[in-house]
Amino acid sequence: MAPQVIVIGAGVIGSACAYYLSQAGASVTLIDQGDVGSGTSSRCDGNVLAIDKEPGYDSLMALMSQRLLHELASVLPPFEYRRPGSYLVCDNDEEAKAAWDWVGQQQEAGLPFWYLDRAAIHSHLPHLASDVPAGLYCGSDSTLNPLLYTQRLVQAAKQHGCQVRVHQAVTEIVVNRGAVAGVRLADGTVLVADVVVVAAGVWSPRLLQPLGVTVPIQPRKGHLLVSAKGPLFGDAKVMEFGYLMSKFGRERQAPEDALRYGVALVYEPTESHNFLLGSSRELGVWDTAPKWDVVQAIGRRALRFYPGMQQATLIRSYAGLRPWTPDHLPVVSRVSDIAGLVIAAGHEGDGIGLASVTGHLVCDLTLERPPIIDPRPLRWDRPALTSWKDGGADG
Amino acid sequence: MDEEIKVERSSAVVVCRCEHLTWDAIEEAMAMFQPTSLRQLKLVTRWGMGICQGRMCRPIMAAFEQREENASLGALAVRPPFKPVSLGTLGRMGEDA
Repeated sequence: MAPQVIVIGAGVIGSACAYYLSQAGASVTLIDQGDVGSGTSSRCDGNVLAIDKEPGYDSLMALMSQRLLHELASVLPPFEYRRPGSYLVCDNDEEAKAAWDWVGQQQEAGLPFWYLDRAAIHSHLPHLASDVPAGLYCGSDSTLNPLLYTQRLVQAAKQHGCQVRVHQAVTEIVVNRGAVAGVRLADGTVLVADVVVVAAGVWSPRLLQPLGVTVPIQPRKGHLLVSAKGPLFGDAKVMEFGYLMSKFGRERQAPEDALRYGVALVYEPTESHNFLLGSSRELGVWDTAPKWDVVQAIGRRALRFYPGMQQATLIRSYAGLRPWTPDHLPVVSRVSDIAGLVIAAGHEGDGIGLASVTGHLVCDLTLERPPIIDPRPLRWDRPALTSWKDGGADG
Repeated sequence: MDEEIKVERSSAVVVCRCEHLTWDAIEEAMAMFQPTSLRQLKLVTRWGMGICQGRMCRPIMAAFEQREENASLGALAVRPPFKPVSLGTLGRMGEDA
């Protein structure tokens, strides 16, 4: 008989889980405390990146997700999926050297990366500030509209029989004799299930903690700015290499306000002819209200790389809570002591990009099929997570 | 908005000028996605996401919300900046303070 599965969280991760599970014949209920895609998945950009992943497992997972996404794009109704590739641009010569090394490592791993010297980067990206010394290009990267993508996954899941319950908060995962029995809702109702998938992003630890399952996922607030419709500054997405320096905790040269809020340039042109500007990183912040200081720091950083944006019009800003983990890998895992409990959370800024591989893997783990990628590095009880002590990380 | 705005169903009336949306498009999205909030309707149609940030379309959508079958759709948050600003101006703000 088809297992009864409850997926908690209708963000992009939970929606992808619901899609793959219901398509595989499971009987799925998708629950969210708000609307479909109303949390982190609608306060983000549409990056689907391999360019920023370390060669090895990290990049393998990203490439697998890109492959699955490419398949989804041919099956689901449109969600503004495109594959323009992506660029990283360097602020200074030191970053140019690091970028050279980075491309070398990626090429050795057989990935479609190219180093672009001064002449090449300016011919690829004519709007860039003239003092940018170098950059690099990754040919596999794609982009999509995350709002639509999430809705499309849920729509398709529904067509496969998935039940969707919105504005219903789960207050407790009910466990009976070492096995999941269902979930309790705020009004006291208990929904019965064989499997419960916790895909609640930054809110996941609250559901897991009472079961004795500690997962060090923390909110990392990130801001984005939206321009008015108008001329774009190129069709591909562009990020600054310094973002990698901060992601991997290396010394980075940047203005004080950029360093304080972890601000690094992200430029993302959208199909609606607005462009998005990011990005910022503030660990441990729960408030999603945009902060003007941070918005300004992002604007200034954009002008450093794109002086021509002086006249571009900003119409909106927003901020979301990325589910951070200490080793920057998500948790996609069964919990061995509690039969039927599956975790799919902690994707930080990669939820949109990694949703497809996550949804597929959760489906594999739930239905006990051969996993599409090795699930061991994503276990909830891996040493990088169990040994982590609060306050010990710099983000 | 004291005056009530009446909108005919299935009309070609433009709801959101910035994003070129008619009532038909809104109705179509309602049927296709069955959104449970105005915000979710916004995410799939882009109403209110243009340069006017809802100045033109909010009153019209309020009329939509007042229709009985849409009463539970709720309101929409307002996000800064409250009027469009150029990046150049944004970058210089607070510098001479």
